[in-house]
This record gives sequence, structure tokens and C-alpha cells, in this order.
Amino acid sequence: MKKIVCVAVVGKANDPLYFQDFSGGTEENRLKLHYIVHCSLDIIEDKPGVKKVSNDMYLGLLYPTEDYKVYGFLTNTKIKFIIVVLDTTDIKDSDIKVLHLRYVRTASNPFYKANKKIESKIFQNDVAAIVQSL
Amino acid sequence: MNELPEELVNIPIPLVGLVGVNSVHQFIEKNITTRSLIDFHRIHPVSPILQSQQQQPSVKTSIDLSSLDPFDQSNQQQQQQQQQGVAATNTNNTQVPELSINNQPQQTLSSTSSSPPIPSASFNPLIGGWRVQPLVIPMLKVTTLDAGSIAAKKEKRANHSESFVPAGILRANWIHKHTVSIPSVISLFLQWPDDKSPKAQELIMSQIDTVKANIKQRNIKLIVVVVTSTPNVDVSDERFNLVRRRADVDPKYFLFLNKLEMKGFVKKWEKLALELADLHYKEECQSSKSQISKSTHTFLLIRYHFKIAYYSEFRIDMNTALKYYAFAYHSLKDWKPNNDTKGIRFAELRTVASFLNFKICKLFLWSNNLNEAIQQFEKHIRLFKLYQGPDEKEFNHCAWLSREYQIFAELLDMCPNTNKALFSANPGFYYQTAAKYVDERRKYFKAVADRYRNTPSVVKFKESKQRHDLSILQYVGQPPPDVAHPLELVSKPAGKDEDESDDFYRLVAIELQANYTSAIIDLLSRAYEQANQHQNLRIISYVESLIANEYFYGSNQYELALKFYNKNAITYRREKWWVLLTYTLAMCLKCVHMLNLPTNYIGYAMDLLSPDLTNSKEQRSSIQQSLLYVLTNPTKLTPNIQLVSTLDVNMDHNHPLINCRVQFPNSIAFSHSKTEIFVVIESHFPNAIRFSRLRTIFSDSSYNKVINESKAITDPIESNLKMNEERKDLVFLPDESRIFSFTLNTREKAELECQTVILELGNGPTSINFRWNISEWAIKSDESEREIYNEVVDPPLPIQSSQQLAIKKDQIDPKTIVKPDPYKKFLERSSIRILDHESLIQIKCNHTPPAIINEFYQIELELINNDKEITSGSITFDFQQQQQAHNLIDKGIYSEPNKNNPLSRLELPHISERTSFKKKFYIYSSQIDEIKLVINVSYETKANEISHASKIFIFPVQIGFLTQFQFFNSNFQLNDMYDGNIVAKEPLLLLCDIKTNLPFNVNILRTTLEINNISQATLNPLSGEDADASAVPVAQLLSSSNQNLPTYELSKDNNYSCWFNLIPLITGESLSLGSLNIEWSRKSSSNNDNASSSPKITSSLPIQLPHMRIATNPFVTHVKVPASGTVGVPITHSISIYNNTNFLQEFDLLVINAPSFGGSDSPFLFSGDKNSTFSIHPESTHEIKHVLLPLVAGKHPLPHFKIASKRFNKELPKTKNPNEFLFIKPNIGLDQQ
Repeated sequence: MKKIVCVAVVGKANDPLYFQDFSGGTEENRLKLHYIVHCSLDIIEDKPGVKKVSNDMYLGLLYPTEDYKVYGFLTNTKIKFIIVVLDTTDIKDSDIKVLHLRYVRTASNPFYKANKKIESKIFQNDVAAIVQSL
Repeated sequence: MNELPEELVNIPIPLVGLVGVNSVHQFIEKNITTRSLIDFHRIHPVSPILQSQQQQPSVKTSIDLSSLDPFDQSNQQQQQQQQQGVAATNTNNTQVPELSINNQPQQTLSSTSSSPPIPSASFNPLIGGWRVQPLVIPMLKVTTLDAGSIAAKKEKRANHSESFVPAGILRANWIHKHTVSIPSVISLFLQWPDDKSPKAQELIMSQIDTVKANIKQRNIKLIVVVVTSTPNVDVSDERFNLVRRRADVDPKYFLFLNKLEMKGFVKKWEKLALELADLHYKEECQSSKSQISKSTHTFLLIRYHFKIAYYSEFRIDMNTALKYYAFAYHSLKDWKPNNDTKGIRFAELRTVASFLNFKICKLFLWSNNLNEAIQQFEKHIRLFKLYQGPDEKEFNHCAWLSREYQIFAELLDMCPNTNKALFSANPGFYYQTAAKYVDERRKYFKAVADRYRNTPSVVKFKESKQRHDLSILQYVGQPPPDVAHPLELVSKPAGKDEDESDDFYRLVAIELQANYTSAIIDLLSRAYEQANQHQNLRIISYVESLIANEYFYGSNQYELALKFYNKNAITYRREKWWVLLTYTLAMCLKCVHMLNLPTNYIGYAMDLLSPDLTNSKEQRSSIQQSLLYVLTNPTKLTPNIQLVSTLDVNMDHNHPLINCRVQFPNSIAFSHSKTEIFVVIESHFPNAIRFSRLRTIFSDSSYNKVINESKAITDPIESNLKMNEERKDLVFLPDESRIFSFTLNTREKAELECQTVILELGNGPTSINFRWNISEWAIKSDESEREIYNEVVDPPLPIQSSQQLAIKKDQIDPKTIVKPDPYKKFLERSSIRILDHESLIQIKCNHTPPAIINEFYQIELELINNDKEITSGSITFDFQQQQQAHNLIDKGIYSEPNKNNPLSRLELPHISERTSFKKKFYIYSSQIDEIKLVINVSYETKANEISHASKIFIFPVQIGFLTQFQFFNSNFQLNDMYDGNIVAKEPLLLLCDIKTNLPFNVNILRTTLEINNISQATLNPLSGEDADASAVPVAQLLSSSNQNLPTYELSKDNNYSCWFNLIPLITGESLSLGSLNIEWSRKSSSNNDNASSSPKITSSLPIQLPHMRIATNPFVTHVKVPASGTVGVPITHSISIYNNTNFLQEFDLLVINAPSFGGSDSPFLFSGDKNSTFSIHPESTHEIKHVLLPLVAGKHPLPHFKIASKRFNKELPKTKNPNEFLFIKPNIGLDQQ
């Protein structure tokens, strides 16, 4: 069973740039994941420590829901990476950093418009590979 | 928290039994010392979840105490009317009459009222019937008992704790028993008899015996108080001793009470009683501990641990309490029931666990251990989340789970110490989860309810209420004795069956009354409240969507649901969460459908059809279909929804679903002509759609245009339509942009604006009109343009504006109207100016630039008439004035190459169609310039149409010639510009070089030098009295070189030179000696044409000579020496120096390279001073003479006579050059002689 349920990249203006659901669940569940990720933005904004000047972009566990845990990562450019995992698993910061690297690679593509939806196939495959590998 | 038994929640207070004298008991009860703390206090008896649906048609749950107070009830009714059923009256409170409610109901009421749409479940600090508040509780709880009334303890077998297998974990009545009926201490009050008879003594003794016997088994402590009526008691009375011995109490606990000194006594007694109570509970703890052994059954272990913990709570020893509750929970956790198919054990375990969990969490929270509390709760939920038991009762498990979450949330919420900033400590999440389980409970119960709703066995219990009273139970968490599961009916004897199934049926009957919506909304409202406190807008949105879902699905309150969905839609749209927005809008659509709001239905449907959203093509297709049904066939939709009147939809400029742009191809048009307007409509309907009519509304309604579709919107759309092909219909294929072009026949002069475009969907009374009010966002012409326009309409026509307009006219070529690409952005122009007739003549000027200064520059004006025949008209010429004043410039327009006939206006002759009119004219300028010439033509054609045309031409004026001047002295030595410059009164030579950079060749006819007079020569001419002198010429021209030269053709590559010989007469710092006058004419390339059509124009161009410094020589030196000599004949070499200065000048003379007297290699014999000094007076002449006798024939260098002025420290220039030679002839005659 896959541990990662959902990977989302959220832009500077809190709009979703990338959202991939790995739960394989129903439409209702998919919607719920959207809600969870959207709510987690509140936590990122609220989370004490974010305001601290720090090089560490890993926010750690944002909040546990009943079935899932939500982890966050906030870059200096206010791009947020949000990973939802099953309640039973944990995510290390190195895992999200891999994702960040992939994002950087995608964003470096001259054809990618900053703060626009990520439609790169390579990024999708990369994310799928990361999810598989964990 | 309502579901927890009250005994469990309340703080335990040590119980002291009072036996004997009732009047004293009452006094003590009133005067007992109190302590204060912050803890739970019951203020409302019933959980909201128990309120029945029938009794409470409204959704809003609010706790209400009004029924207890008639005044408040009337108040409540008023409120109900105001809030339309927001508040609900609870009638269930009769169920628990024993609860004393002595709070201020007024306060509660005020907290329950709130304004929609936020649900009114904001009851802080009131939550679930409990409230955390500062409490004042007595140190001891006293109760009056009869002597010997305490229930006897059950006899236990030996090794009780090791072999006994209990039927349940906790006895249901245990807590109650120890808080209400079994005291820790008995205080026996003995009314001391006044008579000293042995009978009275005997009575006291028997009383003591009864009490002693009664308390012995339970290890209850005893205080004996002798109550006397007289103040003076003989303490040493033997009888007291007897009594004390009989009671077997420490003298410390043997007291005397004089009824007159009660006050002081209570304090003293209380202290002792507390001491003993503490001792009692301590001993109870120890006794429980001592019973625990390795083989003790888990249930007993849990029970003992629970007891120890609870006893510790009596002793206010919270650490021990927490420790033993945790032990109990730990034991419970490890115990796994076997063979528990009915789930009864599981139910018991979870209930006990719930009790323990509550206690542990509360103690953790009260001691600031938030994280431990959360961990404990998570562990608790993990442990009991999976249900074990019959499926039919699963709803009950959900109810339990929901309750656990709610209890924990309330604990967090109410705990005074919690750090609310931590998200994991936010009760909102737990409330939300509780609400979720209520929803699951409803789902699980649905099947059960459908099955049992109308069975007689359930109907029987219709009036039943939930039982939370532990008193009817034997063991905590087990069904009451009359309970069993219906599945076991078959195997049990009939008589018992009924009893056992009754419990399940009762449960069902009670569950049937439950109002899930109110419970869910209540919980969600609290979650909302929490999120609101933290300003977590997104979480609020989520909670709101859950609330809306509940209103929609749970209670079909679509209006409320719509409000929440609508609010959320704004949030999600702002943050571009399209998935969430799509869902929310879809729910909005359902709501308005249910509410039968066709207008809103259309609005949401259009929103949902927008291509930004993430709904699938099929969903969008079906929405489009529904939209058409609303217009045409409402019976296809359930429930029916129909548009009853025409709906005007004001569309955004860039509506994502369907947008419209208009363009006039030009900004101006001419009256009585034709112009186009393009209307582009871009549709993103998922399927092809047929509109009924397209209307364009103009500011002048007579221009309005309409396209009608012949077919109805329901007619099938031909499948062979292709994108982007020209069609007459109003069918839009998906994502198609269509361009509609309308031809307008312009009439009189006006400003025409396309104000609105209306696209109608549907005919007749029910149609949707998509309106684009183009004028609202159109770019209006700016102020300056507006001014010009105003001027244009005012007759007569000012020249200035007409010429600008004419420039615009030039830019517009009416034949090249290009249709914009409907798929691309283009300049939108919704207004057009209709002006007078368009001028069709073409104005041209033929000329050969550049113009030269002082030239009559020939220009040929050509008017090409593309219009109808011109009958009359005029041309005006004008210079466009520039900012700076050019008053000094002599410039003008002339009809001939002289200044006699200035030209400003010209009447037009009759010009027939397709012919041109030509006219030559000349412009003249005396300076370098850029002449801007405006030519305005006004004419009237045969058809009496008056038109105006105007054009600006630009002519550069240049010098055209490059001249270079050089001055030489009479020896053709180039004048040293840095030294002395030109010397007055000495002849000099001037060389003029002329070059041209013109693109054409010129003929130079003549060059003359005009000598300036003084006033012309200086930069600052003299004036006044000196003006007479200024007429004096500054130089005298002696000769010039090119006087007889014929005309010379000068091309770009070569140059033209001429020489002048002149003597400057006047000295000055900066004088121009004169000006060079070049007379020239253009050399035309085609001689024939020129000869015939135009005379040769000779122009003269004066070029001022550069300003020079003209100085006089301080010394005028003449050297006199013959050019040749003869050997043996003496030659006189004389130098005369004239002192031109006003000072005495001294000179040194040195003759260098002088031939020595008699030396053979010296060519001359030499006489005179060789090295001397002399001086010259002002204005006098000094002459130096030397006699040279040539000795040898040939060319010989003269000796260098170096004369240097002492004052100027400079050698005289005349004598400077040493390279002077003398030719010496041989003296033939002398030889011969």
C-alpha cells in the first residue's frame, strides 16, 4: 500500500500549481484531499516558526487529520509543497527536498511560466517515481 | 460530555455521616468551610443529541433552560418568532428532575442567540450542558444517617482477588455509593441526658454499639461528640470515660459540644473529620493495593486501580489519581475479549475506557500536559476505533466515537490552561470529527431504521428516553439487566427473549428520535467558532462547506446551504482552487434548483460551464442541456424549474463562457458612405449551441442591426457544420469564435457608438438575453480628441483642426479594411465618428531637395483629382509656425523666383475627373531652417459636396556649400594663425576653396569678394556718433584671380578655388574682412526640360569671411639688399627699422656666420658692426648698414643679421630667415682690367 496519498504544490498566491492524488479513492475522497490541502495553507500561515528567519524550509508535520498526516515545505519564494500521507507513516525532510529539487528543475525550464500550473510530464513522472520509492 | 455520568465528572468530596442530633447536623451543614477551584459544573441536564426531531423541527440547536422558568419561556417564544425557529425548546428536562439547576438562565439565553447565517451554537462558555467555572465547594459533604443504616459489605471469599472472575469491570453504583451513601467518617452526636439514671446511660451505650457494629466492616472512622446543654460540664465525669471506652475512640476524637458554642466547634470538628476522612481513604487505597496479586483477573485489576485513583481524588492527590487511572487504562488496553460476538464486552470495555480516558485527559490538561493528553486521546481512539460486534449496532459505536471526540474537544475547549495557538490543541478539529461520526452514525442507522421503524416492538418504546443513569446498571458499560441482543432471541427461552430484545428496540426507538442535523450543525458550529477565533479562513471555509453539506443532505434546508456554498465559492474562486470551486458551484446549482430559483439556476449553470472549472465534459454537457430545458421543457428536470420571464444577463467583458468584442475598422467614416462593424462572439459552451437572435444596439437606434435564427434552439444541430466557416445561422460550435460583420450606411455627421450587444437564447417570453454593455468598458476618446471633434462640428471649419483631421484621413485607406482575427486579441473600438464627405484629391509636391539659403526654391504642386469634377475651390499656403520666434529669418512663398509676388492663396480652376492640376511656386529662406509648409485645399465638386484636404510638407534649407579660407603673406607663406595673425597695412593673399555636398551639380558663375565696412566686419557694430566711421572699409581689394573665368560646373567630388589680394587697413581683435559671394545656379540633369519649362535661376550665396585678429607690426623693417653682386664690387646691405610703438626700443645685433676678414673660404669681405646694441626712439627709424665685398662667384648664403628686440625678447621676423642667398657674378671686367 502506498504511503503517500497526495502531493500538492501551491503557488505564491495560494493557488494550486500541481495536485496529484495517489490514493486512488473515490471522487469524494479526492475532494476531501483538496479540502485538507487547502486547509493546511491556513496552518502554514499560522505555524509559529515560519516567520523566523531560517534556512530550513521544511515545516514538518502540519497537522494530523483523522486518517492522514499533512507535511509541509515552504520555499523562499513562497511556493508550498504539501504532502498528505497515511496516518501510519512519517515523512522526512529529505523526502520533500527531493521533490523540491524536481520542482526547481521543472521551473528552470524556459517554457514554464512562473506561478502557473505545472503541466510538465517529466515532473509528473518524477513525482510518481518519488511516491513509488517511498 | 453529557453522556458521561455526573458522578464521574464532578469532583469527589469526602463524605461524612452525621448520626444523632439533627439540629446540630443542619448547623454543621450550613457552616462547613468551603474551598474554591475551577472545574466543571453541570448547568444543563440533557445532551442536544437527545432532543427529538419531532419536538424540534428547527435545525439550530441551542441549549435552553427556559422551560424551567415561566418567565424565560415567554422570552423564548418571542425569540423563536424573531429567529424563525432558530432556538428550540427542550422538553426533555423532566427526565432528570433531580438535577438542581441554579444558574442564571438569563445569561444562558443570551449566549444562545446569534444571527444567521452563522449557526447559533456558539455557547462559550456553555458547552454540552457543562461549564468550566470557578466553583465553591465544601471541604466535606455531610449527610445525616440513621445509626446502623449503612449497607453491609458483601462477604468476600478467601483469596477473593485471585480466583474470582467478576461479571463486569466497574460496578455501576460504586461511585454513587461512595459519594452519596457510604461515608468515610461517622460523627456520632450524643445528646447528653440530663438525668443520670442508668437507663439513659444504657441508651447511649446501645447507640454507640449499633454504630460501631455498622462501621466496623467498612473501616469507617468514628468521631464521638457529646452534646450538652449546659456550659459547665464536668469533664472528669466517670460516665464520659465509660462512653469513650465503649466507643473505643482516641481522646482526640472525643469531643464535647455545648450548644451555645457551636461556631467554634464546627471549625474544630471539621479539621478532625477531614483528618479521619483522609486516613480512611488512605487505608482504603492500601487495602485495594494489598488485594492486587499476579493472578488477579484483569477486570479486578482495573477495578482496584480505578478505586485507588478515585480514593486519591477524594484526598486531592491528583498525581496518584492520574497514575492509577493510567494503570487502569493500561490494563484495559491489554485485555482482549474472546468469543465476544455480541459485542457486549467490547461495549463495556469502551465505556470504561471512555471513563478512564476522560479522567486521564482531564488530569493531564488540568496539569498543563497538553501533549500527553493528546497522545492519550489518540491512543484511546486507535484502540477502539475498530468496531467489534453485530453490524446492527454499529451506529451505536459511531455515536460513541462521536461522543469521545466531542468530549475531548470540550475538554480542550474548556480547559483553562490550554495553549490555543497550537493547532493540534484546537478543539475545532475534534468537533469536526465528532460531527463526521454523527453523520456515519446516521448512515449505519439508516438500514436499521428502515427495518425496524414500524415494528411493534420498537413502537412500544416510542416514548422512551435515553438512559444515562448508572443506577439502573449493574456494571458500567454493560446493558441493563433487561437487555440482550435480538440475534440471540432464537436460542433463548421466550420469556427472557422479550426482555433482552427490548433493550435493542429501545435503543432503536431512541435513535429514531435523534436529530442528527442539529447535532452535526451544533458540533460544526463549534468548530467554526474555533476556526473563527484563529482567523483560519480556509478552515472556516471547510467547516462551512461541511455545514452546508449537512443542511443540504441532512435536513434539506437548501436556503441555508446555499448561503454557505455561496460564501465559499467566493473564497475558492479568489484562490483559484478550481476543484473545490467546481464542487461548491455544483452544490449551489442543486440548491437553487431545489429552491426553484430559475434566475440563479441560470447564473450558476453559466458559472459551471466556464472552461476554467474542472468538471468533465459530460457534466458540462448535461448542465448545458439542463439550461436549455429550463427554457423549453421544464418537465425534464425534477423538480421542475422554469424561467417565467425574459432574463437579462449582464455579461462581463471577458466572461469565460461567452464573450463579445466589437470593432469599427476605422475611427472615422464619412457621411453618406458605408462602413462596417465587426462583432466577435466567442463561445465556450461544451456542446454546439444555437442562439436565437443577435442584436447590436447603437447610440442612434436607427443604426441597430439584428440577425435572426430561423430555427428554434431545440432543433437538432447539423452534424456537418465546420469550425470557422462562413454561416448564416447563429450556431456556435464548442470553443468557436465567430465574427459577424454588419454594414452601416452612414448618414449625417455624428458620433456613433455601439452601446450594447445582445445575444438571445430562446424565443418568446422565456429567453435568456446575454447583454454586453460595451459602452461601460469601451475606451472613450480622450479629452483632446473630443475638443477637436467639437471644433469640427462648429462651422466655419478652423484651419488648425481640419488639417489634423486631414492627416488622419491620409492614414486611412478606405479600401483596405481588414477583418480582425476572431481568435486573437484586437483593438476594440466601439465608436466611430461620421464626418463630412471624404476628400479624394491627392496633394503632391515635386521638388529636388535640399533648398539652399537665399535660393528661390522651386516646388511644383500637383493636385490629382480622384474625386468627381471640381468646379471651384482654393488652395492656401501657410508656414507652420514653430515655437521659437524666427523674426529675423527672411522667408516667404512666392509665385515667381523674385520677391515681387508673395503667394498665400490660390483659386482652383475647373479640374475635371482623373486629371491633375500643377502649379509652380518658390520658397525662400535666408537661414538654415526646416520649412513646414501646410497646404490646405478646399473644393466643391459638381455634386456640391464640399471637402477639405490638407497636407504638411517639410523642406529642409541648407547652406549647401563648404568653404575654406586661408591667408598667406606676400611670400606665399601660410599665415600662422597663432602668431600675430593678419598684419595690417601689409598686403596678404586670401585663398577660397569651395566644395559642395549637394546631390546635384551646380554651376558657379562668378565669385566676388565684397569688402566689409567696419560695422559689417565687427560682431558688435558701432552705433551713435561712431557710426560715421563705420562706413570706412576695413580693407582694400587689390586684385582677384577668377574674374575672367567662365562658368564652372562643380560636382560633389571636386572643388573650386579663387585668390584675392588685399590689404587690411584697420586693426581689430575680431574682424571679418568681407564676404565671399557665390553666384550659382542648379545644373539640371535633363537640360531639355529645364530649358523649356523654367528659366535658369541664378542665386547668390554670401559667405562671411572668418573673423580674424588684425594687428599692426611694432616694428616695420625693410631690408635692402640687391639680388646679385659682382666679385670685387662692394654691396650695401641695409636694414631700416621703424619703431611703431610709443616706447624706446632696444635691440641687439649679432651677425652670425660672418665671414672672417681675409679668410679664403668666406665669400664676402664684411664691414660694419658685428655685435652691437642700439636703441630706437618712438616713431623714428634706425638704419644699420653693412658693406659686403664678394670675393668668390656663385650662390652664397648671406650672413645672418640677427636683430632681437630686448623688450619683446624676440627676433625680428624679417631678419629671421637665414636662408637668403646672393648670386655673385665673376668680375670679368676686372679680371680683364
